[in-house]
Amino acid sequence: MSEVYRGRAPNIEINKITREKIKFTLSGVDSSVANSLRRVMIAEVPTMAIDVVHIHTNTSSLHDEFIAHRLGLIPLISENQDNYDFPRDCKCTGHCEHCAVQFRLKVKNQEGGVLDVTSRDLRHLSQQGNDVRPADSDGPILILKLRKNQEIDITCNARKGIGKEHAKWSPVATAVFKYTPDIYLNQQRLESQFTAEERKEIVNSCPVGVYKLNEESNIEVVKLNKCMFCEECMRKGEMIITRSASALLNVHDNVVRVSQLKDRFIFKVESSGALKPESIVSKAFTILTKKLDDIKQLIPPLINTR
Amino acid sequence: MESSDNKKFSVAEDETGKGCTFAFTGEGHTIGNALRYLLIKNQDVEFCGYSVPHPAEPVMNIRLQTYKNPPLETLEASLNQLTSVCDLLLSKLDSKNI
Amino acid sequence: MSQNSHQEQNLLIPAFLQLRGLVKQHIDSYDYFLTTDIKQIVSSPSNCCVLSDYNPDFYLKYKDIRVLMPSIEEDAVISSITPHECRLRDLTYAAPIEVDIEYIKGNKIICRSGLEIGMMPIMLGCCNCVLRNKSEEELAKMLECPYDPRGYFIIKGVEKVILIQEQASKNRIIVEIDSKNNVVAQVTSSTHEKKSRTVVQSKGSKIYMKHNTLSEDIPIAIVFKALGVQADQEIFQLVGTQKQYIDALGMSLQECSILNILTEKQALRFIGSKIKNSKAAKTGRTKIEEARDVLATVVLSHVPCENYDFRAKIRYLGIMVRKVIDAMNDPKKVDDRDYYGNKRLELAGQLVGLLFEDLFKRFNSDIKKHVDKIFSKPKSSKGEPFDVITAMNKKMITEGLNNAISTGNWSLKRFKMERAGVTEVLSRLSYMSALGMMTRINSQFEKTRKISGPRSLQGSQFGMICPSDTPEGESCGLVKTLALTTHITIDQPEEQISKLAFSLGVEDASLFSGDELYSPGVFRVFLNGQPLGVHRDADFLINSLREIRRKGKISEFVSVVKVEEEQQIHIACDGGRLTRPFIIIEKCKSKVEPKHIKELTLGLRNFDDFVNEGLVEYLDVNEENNAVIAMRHENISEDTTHLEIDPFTILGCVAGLIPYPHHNQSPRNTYQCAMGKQALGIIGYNQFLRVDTVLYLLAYSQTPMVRTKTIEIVNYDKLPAGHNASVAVMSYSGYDIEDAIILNKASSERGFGRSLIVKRQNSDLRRYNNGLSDRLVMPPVIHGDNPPPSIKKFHALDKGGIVAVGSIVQTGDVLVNKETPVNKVDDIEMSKLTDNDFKPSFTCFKGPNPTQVNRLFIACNPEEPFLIKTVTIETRPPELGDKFSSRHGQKGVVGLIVQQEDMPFNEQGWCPDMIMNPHGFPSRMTVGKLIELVAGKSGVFQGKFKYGTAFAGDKVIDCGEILVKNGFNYTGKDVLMCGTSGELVGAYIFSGPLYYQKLKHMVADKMHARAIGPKTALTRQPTEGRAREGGLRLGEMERDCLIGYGAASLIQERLMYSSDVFIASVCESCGNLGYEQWCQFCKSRLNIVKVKMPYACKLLFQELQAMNIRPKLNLSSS
Repeated sequence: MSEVYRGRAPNIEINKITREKIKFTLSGVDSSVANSLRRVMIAEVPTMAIDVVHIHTNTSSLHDEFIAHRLGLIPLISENQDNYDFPRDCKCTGHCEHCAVQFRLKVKNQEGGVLDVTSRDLRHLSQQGNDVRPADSDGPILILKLRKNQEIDITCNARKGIGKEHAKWSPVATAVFKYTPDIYLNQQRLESQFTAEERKEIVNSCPVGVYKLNEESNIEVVKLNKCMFCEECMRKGEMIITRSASALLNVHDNVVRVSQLKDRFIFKVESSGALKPESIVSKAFTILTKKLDDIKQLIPPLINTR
Repeated sequence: MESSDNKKFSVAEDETGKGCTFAFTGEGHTIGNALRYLLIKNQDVEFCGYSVPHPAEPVMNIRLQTYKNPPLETLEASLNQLTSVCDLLLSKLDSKNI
Repeated sequence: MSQNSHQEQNLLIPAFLQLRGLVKQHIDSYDYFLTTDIKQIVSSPSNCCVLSDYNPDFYLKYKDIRVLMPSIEEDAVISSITPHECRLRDLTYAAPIEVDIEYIKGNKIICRSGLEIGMMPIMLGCCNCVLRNKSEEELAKMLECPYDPRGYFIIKGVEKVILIQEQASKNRIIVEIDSKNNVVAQVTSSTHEKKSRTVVQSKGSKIYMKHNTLSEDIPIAIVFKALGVQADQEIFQLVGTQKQYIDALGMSLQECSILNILTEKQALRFIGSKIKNSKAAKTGRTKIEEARDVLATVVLSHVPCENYDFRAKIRYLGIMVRKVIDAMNDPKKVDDRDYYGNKRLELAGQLVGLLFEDLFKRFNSDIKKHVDKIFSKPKSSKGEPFDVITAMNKKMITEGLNNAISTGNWSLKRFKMERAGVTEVLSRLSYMSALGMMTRINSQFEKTRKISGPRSLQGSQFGMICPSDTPEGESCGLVKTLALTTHITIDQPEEQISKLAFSLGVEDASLFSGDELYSPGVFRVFLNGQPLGVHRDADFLINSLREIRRKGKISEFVSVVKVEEEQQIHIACDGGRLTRPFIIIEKCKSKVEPKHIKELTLGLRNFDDFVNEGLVEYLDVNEENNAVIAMRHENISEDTTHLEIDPFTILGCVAGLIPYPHHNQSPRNTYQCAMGKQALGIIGYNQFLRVDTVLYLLAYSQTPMVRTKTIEIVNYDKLPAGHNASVAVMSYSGYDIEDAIILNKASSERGFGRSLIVKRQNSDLRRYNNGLSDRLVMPPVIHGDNPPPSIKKFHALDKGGIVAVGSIVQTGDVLVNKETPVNKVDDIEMSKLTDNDFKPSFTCFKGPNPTQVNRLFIACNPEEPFLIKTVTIETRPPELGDKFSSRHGQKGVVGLIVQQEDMPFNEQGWCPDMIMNPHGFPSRMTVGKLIELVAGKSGVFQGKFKYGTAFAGDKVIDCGEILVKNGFNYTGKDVLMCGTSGELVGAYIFSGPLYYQKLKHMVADKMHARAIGPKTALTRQPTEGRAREGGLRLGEMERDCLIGYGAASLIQERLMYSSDVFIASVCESCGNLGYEQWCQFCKSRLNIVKVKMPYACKLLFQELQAMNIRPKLNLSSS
């Protein structure tokens, strides 16, 4: 495997972990692998979400389907979703304790005024599924509002699924990676062909402040990772010299050149609350491996038939 | 629409025995792009490309042409490479996490 | 005056709209009808009394008339109703009309007050409506949305709008050139009594007068003589003594002498002989008297003429002739028919007034007939003396009004008016469509005529009528919309103005001779098209009138116009003129100062105070010609007289949705005006309480990021119709060609574009004349899991026979298990009824998809004792084929729905909800959309709404700076990474938030297929329409294409074998159609042959046979 990468082995460095987000750097792999990881994190990491809704009573102002849609989108803490089977894999008919967790939502507004029905009103029907509960530690999630004498009585089943099937099962608010910028400043040309004023112009052309003019009036890169690849600095450099923006086409001799490092990716993953961010990443690897294993298993029979 | 049943994988070979089109059911760009990259890195591979013929169907095709080895083996080798990369990264992640 | 005060001036506009404008026109005109006009109708001499021809002592006099508050009478109990109750129970929102009468009964005079003669439909929001002046809370208690535009009627549960009708001004002289290149001056005279058209026409070099009552054109000189102008010199003086007039009139005067008509009597006799349908013989009047009558009352009827004093008519005729001669010499003097100064708009109050007058007259003539019948018979001495109240048919007025408003057919015998399409059902597709319909103007031109004049954009429309909002297609340019600050005037009484004019120095024209009338410096003064007099100092009169108007002593809607070249002053106080407000400028300074605006915001001042104190003034289209109006403060120069309040008011309320419309190609704004009315959104706060046939709603509607001042004034921000979609403008996947849109699957699963279709089905249990009525039956019990379809369709019913709320129904499921009696006519004993006397007639659910029943509504009204309405709600997420559009006329259909991970993303993790193809921009040139995106993006970072008001709005440079400050590119373009491969997309992608609307054209309502299906009974051809599972027509033009290919067999297959092929038996000997081997004509079985023909052909032959034409078929074997 390392011969493939010619020098840099795959590596992962965690930059920052909080309760909701994780920022890590993946290096030594190609963009296709990084992208596969990102895609699996968004679409194929399983979580639990409410999937089947039985409505016994609904006299609120929202109709049944509307409420069912909202219930499905509530993120449920699914750290232990390995304990549950996918509904299609479970041997029961209907549902059982291995594939579903049941909740009951029964609220009636008896006092008057407006009563908010939130995720805190979802109660488990049995002790066993207690670990799967709404991810509302930051605040209750509003489901609907009831007026005086309106009530709802709903039983719902939370089942396991993946984001590919419906976005409610996606564990991430967003999973994204970006390339590390690689900035090359032709200092020789900068000192010979540009005045201090012009160098200052190049520094100011950057909207996010990547550059700074140091004491000798030379351009220095200070905030490399803020670069957003707008290429304003490149354009500015060429325009000052040639008074024409088309000089950018001559890639070899640019004054400023901004490009991306091809094998270093900064990932930012923010969880929706269903799983811990580091769980999402490790599960993503596991699932990716499993997919590859599933394919690998199909190969030997084919080789044998050849 | 679940992802793990009906996972099929068919092979269509051509006369030379060195070129194959693999048709995966239930997989898409996630596996396709990564595999394609690794296959191209392999010196023995003459041609490799992947496509998703129609966005409404969950079918993905990979076309592989090799110089020497049988394509199925080359594919298996790349799958192993990718698996090992993932395992390595996972172990590094777990170790750093704790 | 600084920039700030200019911004604050805008506050005048919401103040204006609170008081007038938009829907207030309808309400104010109806108020005028209910309070003033109706009383005038009843007290006018022709209507106030009913006399009998047979009993001279009898009379019935109407003293007063009133309209009360809306109510309904049920079971002899009168209770007040709210509009919402009327909508739900299919009632009419009407109030009783009460009269006070005095009449003779027997020998006594009886006064009766409070007698009801009918029910008047009440417009919502008018002075008699319960919703008037209620606070939001009180409206909520009555289940009404506070933002509902009102101004419509509710007839039998249906909301009907009387559209504003546009027509040419009455009682004005219009000069035009007719098809034979003759100059024609027309006046359509219209008074309360009569309506007719008088034409002064030039044929060659002679001038004639034409009128409907006269069978032939009469030379003008003869008319003058008949009116009393005997001397030729007088005629010249009346028309004009310059050379051109003398030359032109010369020929006409010669006519006189040719015909040997020199005296008044001769002229009258001549005219009398030309009267059509002369009743001279019957009523015993001479021709001369009849001619005099015609001239006095029918010709130019709007010019007053008392006791045969024709002087006013003579002057008027002289003016008309002068205009014709002027136009003959100078073609530019022809009037423009489409000029808005010559047009009047008719509102609901006037139309209902006409209708009511006609119905009242018929009511009275009915009473008269009844009275005459009673009195013509010999009086029987026994019994009660006749009470005329019994003759009053209350239903006539009630039903006449209801039917006219509900069908839209205004057919008034007296005015010979037959108008159709006066009312329309209020469109509730979205809030904007309701508001747009309330400000719509219908033109009286037919849609089939091709002349472009009335359809094109008129210069005089500026500020009065919206330039962009007109439908595409056959009614383009004929149906228009009011601009934001337009006000339509109401009739003012004329005497006050004419008295004022006379006291200001207007001299009666009869004191002058013809010559003096036309001398330079003398201005002729007209009031509402009628000559009032002359004035020698025009400026003094005009300035004084305007000063008095600004002080509030006469109505602010009186207009005073000076026409310099014609030397005329026109004063107008009639109704139906378009006016709009301006700020008065004096000595280069605006009279509206910041302190006034401050008082306005504090609530110490309202818009009327501005008008009454002479700070703001209303100008109508004609008076705008005299004013020099500055658009903005910077444009004020020395001779500026007025200042526009704000330029964005030239657009109407629907065009006001468009952000930065001044950066768009104008047809795109017009397309958006049409589509904005089809966007799904929130109808009103009471949308879930309404029971409409179909309501389209958006589940998670959002208020737009980039808005305009109009949006806030009109309350669209509170009832929005769309989503702020994150859009990336790039080519992606190739499924976005030809304006198709690519949607993000995860976004739609999270609620983007999710629409709710609320439908209603009615069912009523009727009572029949024999006392029997429909009944509800318990449904059969369903056993087991797989009942047969005939039983399965009852699964949703509860024990009462009506569908249970919350159940899911499919096509064919029974909603109401109703049975109808078989025998509806004969009397049957109730106790002898068995089940066999009833047959099932259940109401089934019609709809393609399974839907859930949301509400059930059971009510009764005077016509239907038991009414059941079932409301179903269907939730539709967006799918391939649903139509979306931005606010710039860029519509498109969903071409592909793509997973979130395949979507391009930026380094912060943002991915678009929707991808739009950039090819839609170059030819369409909707730069406003580009600016909306940049402005919206900057607003997202600042947390503020941005404004894209027309001719103003946030500047792109400022928005760019905000983007840069937040780390994005000032152009709005971002670096995105491809979702499928992870690599950078090779170009910068323009992306940001855009407001997208989902339109009501959804594929689920349109998708249709048919292989073999039902056929029409009459022609045995496939049915038409999706609802009847119809086929698609191969029309004449498609047939021509197939002919062009020479595909004969294909044509035969399509037109016969797949459609209505029929094997007819034809008799070879006689050539007639027979049947089943028998020819009825030959009476034999021999010679019958089978022939294949389309059934329509066989039907044609039979229909011809029914008309005694024998289509004989000559057969030969091939």
